[in-house]
Amino acid sequence: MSMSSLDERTVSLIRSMPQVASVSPMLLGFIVSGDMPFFLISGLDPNCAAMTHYKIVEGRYILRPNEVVLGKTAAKTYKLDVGDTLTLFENRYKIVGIIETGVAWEEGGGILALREAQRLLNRPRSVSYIFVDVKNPAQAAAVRDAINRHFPEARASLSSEFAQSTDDMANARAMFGAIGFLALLVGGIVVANTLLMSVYERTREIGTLRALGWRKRRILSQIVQESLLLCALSAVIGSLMGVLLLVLIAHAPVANAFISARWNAGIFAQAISVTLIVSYNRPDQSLRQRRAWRAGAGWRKS
Amino acid sequence: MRALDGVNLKVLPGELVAVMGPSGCGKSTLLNMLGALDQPTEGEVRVAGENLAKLKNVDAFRAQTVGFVFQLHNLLPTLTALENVEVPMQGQVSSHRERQERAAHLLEVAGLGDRPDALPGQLSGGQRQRVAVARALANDPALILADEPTGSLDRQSGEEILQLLADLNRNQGTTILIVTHNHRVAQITQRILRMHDGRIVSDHRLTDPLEEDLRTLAYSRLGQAILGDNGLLPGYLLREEEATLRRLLVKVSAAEGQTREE
Repeated sequence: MSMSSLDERTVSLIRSMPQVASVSPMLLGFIVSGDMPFFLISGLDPNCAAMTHYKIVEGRYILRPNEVVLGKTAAKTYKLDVGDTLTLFENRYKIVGIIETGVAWEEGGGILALREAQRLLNRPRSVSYIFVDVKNPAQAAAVRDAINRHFPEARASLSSEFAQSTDDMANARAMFGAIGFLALLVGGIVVANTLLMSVYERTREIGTLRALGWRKRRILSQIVQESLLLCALSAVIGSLMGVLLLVLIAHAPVANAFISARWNAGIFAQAISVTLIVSYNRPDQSLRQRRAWRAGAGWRKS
Repeated sequence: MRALDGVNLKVLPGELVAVMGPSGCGKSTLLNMLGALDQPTEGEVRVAGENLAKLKNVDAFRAQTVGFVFQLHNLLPTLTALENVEVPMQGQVSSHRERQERAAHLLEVAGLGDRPDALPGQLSGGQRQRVAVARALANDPALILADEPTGSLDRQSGEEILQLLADLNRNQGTTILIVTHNHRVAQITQRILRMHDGRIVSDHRLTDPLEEDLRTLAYSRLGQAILGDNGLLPGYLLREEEATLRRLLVKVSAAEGQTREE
């Protein structure tokens, strides 16, 4: 996450716009230390409207600079509870609440008062995001355009567009998309190569079966059945291993700030479909190569 | 380049023919043609009365009419000896039990009746080749094509395999063509073809000592005693030989009649 930065004066200027009901400046930063591989800090004004985004499951919201609200995952990871003390850069904060949002990286960190977060992160008078509430929702687009026009250093977007338009989110999406594509590509190549090699390694067997009078269709059927079975088993085992790995990663302190172990049927269906398509396609192509069974029959020498 | 050129060959039912010659002379191509693995660019190949160029179902021909024995046995490593022998029967014999019984019988014939459940990896080279021979017999083919069946075996195992093929030929009348470099094949075969540069350069028929005895017997008894009910000689004697013998018998008979008249 890039942790973009805006001058806090922008907050006052936006607040002064007539269509704006309230603004909630927020500073994002993270701490990396031996005890805490990655701890995301959200700095918010304790009285701001954006605070309601965080659902308190235990305790209360912060009221003072020496208080912190922990995300559910962070509390679990670091075995902390309401009333305990959290130490960040030798600063001690009293844990007054536990929150949940359904967002892994938010639940993996904590919320400090904005001023305290700016001090702790050494970013005085700067904010990362400004949440703007408008008086009339119909004017939201006009306010967005006005902000973009008057404050070129900021990029405003509607809540509904936020995830798509924010650079950080867009970058994260692109990164995960690329990783997913690469994983699929590499996995597909590996699976295809494995199956292709298994057919090439079996050219002698295929040739023998042809010489013994087996029809091509029968051999193809045999190999496709084997491949389908193999790939189905691989898909099941792979999915189970994937789930296991995800759960392990999601519980690792270094990663649980970003990753939550969630999955859906679509992911499994996608993976299994790709595997099955690959498993069917390769043997079919190889079997059509006449030389495969000729070579396999062992009739090359004279 | 012509792999085979001007080859004119007739193999009679019940013959055991060895095909010999240097590497690249066309021996395997000849077997390819007979097994319907290759088509000639010119000429005609007939096996068991079938013109191979006009076969409607090559797979059925390979399954039912010919049996292959390869140099490297080519057994399926994950199947047992019994299952390997069953492989050619898949699609030919519908009853699984029948396939198993026949495979077990063929393993007995091949001398491996006590190892039906052994995987190829658990068998010696000679034993694997015995399984391969049993597999070749699976569908009771009219012709067995063996491409260097002793090529990867030690001397003793090689001789055992040759003897097995000879016994099959002698006892069951199976027609067998063996491509081989093994000169000891002369001990078991009745006919040796020698090839060079795609041509058959010699077609030498050997005389079986037993056949000689029978021939002598036929001379002395006018042939009647050794002829079967169908008027034919036992299976291991060739029809061509039979015709020769009959001609000889006629001559002997005529000579004896002439002698009596004198």
